[in-house]
Amino acid sequence: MPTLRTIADGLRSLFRKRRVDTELDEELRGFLEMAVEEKMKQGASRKEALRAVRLEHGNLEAAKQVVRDARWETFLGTCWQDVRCGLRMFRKNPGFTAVAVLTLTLGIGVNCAIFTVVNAVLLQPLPYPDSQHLVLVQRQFPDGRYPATSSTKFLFWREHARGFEAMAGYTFASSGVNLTGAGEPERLHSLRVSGDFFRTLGVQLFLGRGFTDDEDRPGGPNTVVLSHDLWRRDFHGDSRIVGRTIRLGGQLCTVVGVAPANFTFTPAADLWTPLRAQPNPQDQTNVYRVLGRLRPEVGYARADQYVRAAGEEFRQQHADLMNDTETVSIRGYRDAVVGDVRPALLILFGAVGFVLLIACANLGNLLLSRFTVRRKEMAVRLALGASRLRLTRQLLIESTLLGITGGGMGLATAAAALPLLLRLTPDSLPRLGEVRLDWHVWTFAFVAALITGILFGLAPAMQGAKTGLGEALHESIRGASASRGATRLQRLLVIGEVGLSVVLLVGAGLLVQTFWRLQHESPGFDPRRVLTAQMTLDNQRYNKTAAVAQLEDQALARLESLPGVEVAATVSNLPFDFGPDMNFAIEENPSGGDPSGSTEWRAISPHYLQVMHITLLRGRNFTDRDNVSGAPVVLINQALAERFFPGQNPLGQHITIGVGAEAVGLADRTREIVGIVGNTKEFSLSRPAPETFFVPAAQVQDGMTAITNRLIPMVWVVRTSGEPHMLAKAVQRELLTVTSQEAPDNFRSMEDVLSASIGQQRFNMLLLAMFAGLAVVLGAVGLYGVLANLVAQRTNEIGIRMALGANRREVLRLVVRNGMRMTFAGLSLGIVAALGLTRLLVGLLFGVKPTDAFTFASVVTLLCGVALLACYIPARRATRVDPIEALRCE
Amino acid sequence: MADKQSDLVQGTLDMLILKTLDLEPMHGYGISARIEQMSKGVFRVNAGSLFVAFQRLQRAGLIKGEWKATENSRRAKYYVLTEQGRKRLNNETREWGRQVAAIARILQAS
Repeated sequence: MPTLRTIADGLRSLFRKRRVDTELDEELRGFLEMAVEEKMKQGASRKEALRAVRLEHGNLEAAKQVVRDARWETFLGTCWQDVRCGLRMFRKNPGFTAVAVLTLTLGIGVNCAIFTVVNAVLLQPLPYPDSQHLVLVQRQFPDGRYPATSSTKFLFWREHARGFEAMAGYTFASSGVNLTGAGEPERLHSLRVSGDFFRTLGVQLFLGRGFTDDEDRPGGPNTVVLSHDLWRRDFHGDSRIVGRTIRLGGQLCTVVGVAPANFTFTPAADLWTPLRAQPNPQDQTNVYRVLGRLRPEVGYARADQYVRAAGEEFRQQHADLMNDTETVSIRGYRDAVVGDVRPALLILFGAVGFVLLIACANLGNLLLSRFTVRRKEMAVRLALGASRLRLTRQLLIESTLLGITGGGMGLATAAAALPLLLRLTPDSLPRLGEVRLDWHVWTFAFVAALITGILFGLAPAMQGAKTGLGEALHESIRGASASRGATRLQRLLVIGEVGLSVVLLVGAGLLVQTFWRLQHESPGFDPRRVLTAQMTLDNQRYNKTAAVAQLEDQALARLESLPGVEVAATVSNLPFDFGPDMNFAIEENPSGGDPSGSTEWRAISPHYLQVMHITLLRGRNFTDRDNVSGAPVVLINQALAERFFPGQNPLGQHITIGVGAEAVGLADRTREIVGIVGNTKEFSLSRPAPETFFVPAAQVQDGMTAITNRLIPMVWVVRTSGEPHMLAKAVQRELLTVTSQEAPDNFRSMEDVLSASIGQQRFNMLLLAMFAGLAVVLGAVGLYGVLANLVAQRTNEIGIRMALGANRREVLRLVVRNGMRMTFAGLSLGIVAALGLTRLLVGLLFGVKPTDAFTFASVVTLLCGVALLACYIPARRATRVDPIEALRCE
Repeated sequence: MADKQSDLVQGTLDMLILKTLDLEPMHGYGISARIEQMSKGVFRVNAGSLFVAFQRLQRAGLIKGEWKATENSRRAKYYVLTEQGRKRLNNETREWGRQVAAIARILQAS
């Protein structure tokens, strides 16, 4: 192979340079001698012969150089020379090097850190084999997708949809289970999954097996698969665990398998139990999610047709169970998992890209300033015969060296900052457990460093290539001043920096306002001094409301007698946690009511309003007499009253909840509206309060109690007189004394709950504000640098002006005006860009328009202030120029 | 004229070197002298071009160099045609013949 030989030969001359050179030397000398001898044979004297040969063949040294230059390794060698030369230059200019490397470290560091998250969350395939074939099968309505469906539909789809290798169902929510048998009960997260769940995901169990069809049938044997973590923690990694029984919610379950260590799934679970779905046309509760694995040859488009066809088949058989506008569709599973956070993450990624661009512009400026100083050096080298290409290459190599150094340090910074970043990320961010610095991040850092190096090196390198020889040498005598091209480029770079800073600052400003407004948005309750705890009532006996009511009575009495507890209550679910919604009909107005079933349903104990400080607007609150033997009553919130009883007095009217759900035991008795309460935010602070009704927990129909017990944990809420978390231990002890088999868990203050609900907005705001801050600092440094450089170059001119009678104020104005002109150009550019780009933020904003004038005005003011400061320092230096000194320099 | 070699068509120097070495292994000066002599002084090859060509041909694996004593018992690097080099020479000679004939036909056509 000629190429191989070329490389081998090249390496030989690279590493045995002296030897190869001596050989060439000797060969050429031999050539010369022979030629001379030949001439002497023809009768010439040695001297004449030598001259003749030289004339014919030129200088042999030059010939040697020609031979050497024809080798590829020579190119490498001179590159290496440039590298060493660059390193020497850095050593000699530690200040310049430090600023450059620091800027790059920050710029590339934040980029690497954000990329690490973007990479793990958005780019990497989900951690299942061939995960691109995994899809969610869901119901589609004109107004959107509904991932939850009923057991009947799930089972029908599984049987009839073509193109799937496997299809599994799982409940999208679960109240959890209590593991008992060893000391205190432990509340665990559980998930009910159909038999082929693990097969669909393509996951091989670590020990044992998944569920059999028999176990997935109603009435089948009780079995459980443990997570690797739970198995290690609670069962000491016992390898003979399979086949043993554990007690969950009072029932014995046989462990059939243990999941592998790295297995993750949303919702997260400590253990999995069989779903046992059965077709029941009467049961239209949509609590199942359906995950399918497509056959490898089936694309999304075809799969979509297949499930739609299965949906139509279902409609033919059960026209009454399918809404006219309802269809069935698929959604890629990764998209379903990370789709919601993609916009925010991409915006943050774009923002750090801007920061890097600003860093590049800054460095380009720095190098241009340095280049002005180095023009003489360049001119001298040109005069001595260096090619322009070689000079350009050297400048590019220098900037690339800086880029690589900054990239390496940036990567190290990112690695150090990653734990911090992960602590900032909200728990709602999916796939957080998968975030790590893998080779993708390394590659990214390297490529970013390389591109950065070339990008900021390009400007000075191009200037370098243009250096006019005579001009530069001539100028250098008169004290270096930047060429006009270089100055224009520097100004453009500063304008660009200011513009980018505006965009980032406006974005950050809008997010800060969003967060501020959210924080000042009233949730409709008072979150201060409220402690909450969750509890799973998974024992069979709690399927009767009477048993739950008895437990609540006992426990609440004990809690309220605790010192430090003002009042205590229960609620079926807290605001911002998932809760059930129901339909209802109005007795007095048969055409009214909410047949769609989107009214929020809450079961509360009598003191709930007092604990949460929810205002009672009209009527009365619940009392202890609103129990199972009392008349059925209900409280409605203001939103419900306004929407369904416009212009009427709802008090004394009657509603029926769960119309048509008799068969599944969700139909309620007709209730009298006894009170209207203030609205409470139930979904999030940024969404309006939904229509909500509250029923006394003691009056809930048994069927509803059974289903909520399975889907959502009940919640204890306690209003304390002091710091709520101080009471957690006492509350836990009291509750355990009463329940003994059910563990209170997940102690949070209501302020924790509220704060977690705006975690994503806090994350967006903090990061974008940080990046904007970085941008402003870099931009200010850039502006300062250019002006300082300008003042240094124009010392002569300023001296002359002052000698001719200009006073200090005029000099000050000269420099400041120069800087502010750049700033204003950048501001105008940035405002236009921001008006275009902040539209991308719309989905992340609350209570503020993307074109918010206040934000734009504040940004302009802030940047003007910073720019004035950055101008003032060099301007003051200019006023201190001593005319005599300056002129003497001439 | 030493400049004559600039009239050499690009790539023909390589062919001439290969042809020279086809007769017998030879050192740099020998090759240069032989080319000059065979072309009756039309081609004179500058040492720089010659040695760059040696380096190129060596790296392409067409010739090999080895240090030997000359007839004047001086040490010199002799270049030898490799099997690959011989093949290349045959190909190029044939190709050259075809091209020259074609060009000649064109030039005589008028």
